[in-house]
Amino acid sequence: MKKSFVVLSLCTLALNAFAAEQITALSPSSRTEIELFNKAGAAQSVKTLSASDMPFPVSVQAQEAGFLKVAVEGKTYWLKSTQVRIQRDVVASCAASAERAERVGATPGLAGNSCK
Amino acid sequence: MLNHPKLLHKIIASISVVLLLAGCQSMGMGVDPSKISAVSTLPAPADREWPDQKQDVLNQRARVELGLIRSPELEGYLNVLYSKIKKQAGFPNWQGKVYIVANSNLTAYATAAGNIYISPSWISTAQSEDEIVAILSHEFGHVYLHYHELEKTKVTADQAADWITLGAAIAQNTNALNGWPVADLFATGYGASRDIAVGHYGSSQELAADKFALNLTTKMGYSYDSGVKAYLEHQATWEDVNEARQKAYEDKLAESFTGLGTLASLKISQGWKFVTSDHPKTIDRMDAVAIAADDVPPKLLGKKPVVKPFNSVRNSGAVSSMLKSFGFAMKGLENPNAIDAYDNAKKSAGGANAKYAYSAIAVFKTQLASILNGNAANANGLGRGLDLNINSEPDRAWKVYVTKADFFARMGQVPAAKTVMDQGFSYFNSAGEAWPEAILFYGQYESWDKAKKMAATCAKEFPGLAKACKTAAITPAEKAEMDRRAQENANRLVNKLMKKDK
Repeated sequence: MKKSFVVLSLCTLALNAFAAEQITALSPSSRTEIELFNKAGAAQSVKTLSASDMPFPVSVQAQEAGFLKVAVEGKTYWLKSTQVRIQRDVVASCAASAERAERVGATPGLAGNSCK
Repeated sequence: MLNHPKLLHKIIASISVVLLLAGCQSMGMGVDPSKISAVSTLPAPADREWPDQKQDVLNQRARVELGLIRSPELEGYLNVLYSKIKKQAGFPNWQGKVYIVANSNLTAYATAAGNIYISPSWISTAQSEDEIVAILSHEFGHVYLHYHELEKTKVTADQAADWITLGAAIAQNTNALNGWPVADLFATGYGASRDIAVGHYGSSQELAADKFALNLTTKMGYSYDSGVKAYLEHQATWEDVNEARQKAYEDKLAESFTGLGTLASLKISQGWKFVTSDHPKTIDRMDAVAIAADDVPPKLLGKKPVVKPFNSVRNSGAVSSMLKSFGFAMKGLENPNAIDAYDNAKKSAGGANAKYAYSAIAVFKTQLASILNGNAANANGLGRGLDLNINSEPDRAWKVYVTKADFFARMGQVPAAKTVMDQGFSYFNSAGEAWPEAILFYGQYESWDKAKKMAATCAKEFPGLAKACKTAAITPAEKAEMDRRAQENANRLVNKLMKKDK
């Protein structure tokens, strides 16, 4: 799977939250199918796709009421945000991550110190 | 010389096994994540005696390279949220506040004192109040559920420090690092030590804190997919970015051992992966939380996130200015020798931001680099920002004193250097993290006898720092002898392994 990472400069806030966000997988990973809806908030799905038929990564075109608008097989659908994993923009860098946390009692951190 | 690929891999893997096993021995005391669901009643927290929270803040100001960022507006907003979280958990009077830690990484952590430290990167990255509340709830979950583990991590400190030393030693002994940012070099060792720390801490604690956050935020009426799910997805993206960078680094590192690529079979990265393979992955946590979220009332799954108050604070004059200032300082620090580094760092020093340690150190380092690179005209006002930080009591960072004292000493102005160090250590001596650097300074510029005595005091007062303090008090002669013996031992080990290898 091709991954295109978008890490914004710390000088630039992520003003357009969904401009570069992509769906990269179904969630949880054990999910094998995804329901597609013809509008956000719809109770009844119009189609079900298997994970292998999803052309990941899929760009997120819009978000509404817990649903994400996507283009699949040449058509526009909505799917439930909770059923997919999204690659989200991150505003961070490793310029100054060199703490000395290893000496002090603290949690490793929510995101730890991922700089490697 | 370590130029045999199988041999090197074997050595690294051997070291890794030792570290990994050591890590596993202290795991297993966490809360069972299965006992926390999205809607369950939370287990009762353990009784506790709270560490002094002001001392905890001072410890962070000594520990973190660039100190804390005391932003009243941002702290105020985050602490209102933190109060709501504590109230929801049933302990509104528990101590602890939220502070901004000057770290460019996407990081947040909690201490046993109940304090939560969050980086500006999370403030810039988060998309809603739901996500910030979820992050704070996750960290509060560690305070609530894992108080004893928070204390215990101190004991494991020296081992992680050993690992970082190993990472740095490997890197320093290669010749393929030209052009590789210093931050990346250090962070590689740090990242490894963090993984060890996570190993000690245990994946169960992280997962329990995720579920704790899901439980609390759901009850508070915040959205799951804009809250817990969003912070895990941000974290996963950031880890992917760093894994890609780590791979590039490892490839470069491996080249140095393979002799211009002729021994291309060497996979030094396997050594690193071996170490980290059993450690918690964000994807696993995301999967577990996604399954747990099945219990969340459907109306909260797609609930509209709370964006306006969060953006209102983030975009307010002082907070927005600080975030931009921090960004410029980090751009400067990425490579202080870059032609635009000093200009970027100077942009961080506008208005009230000049007193922050991150700005003071960024300006000082880039200005010094500019002067050393031949721009003598940039010499005016060198160190002014360091003084601004020192003169602003709540903003003082230990590293600022160390930077200033070190500069004076290198310039041959030892009495001035000692005055700065005396002032700084007088202020920070109750924070153990200040001791190793102070010991080294006094050893170098006053007497090694004094350094040895300080190291003994340090070991008594701060047992978790005993090794670091003892190391700082090693005289040059002792170090030379230790290096000689270490080299002898290394040669013996290499010879022994190479015999086996044949």
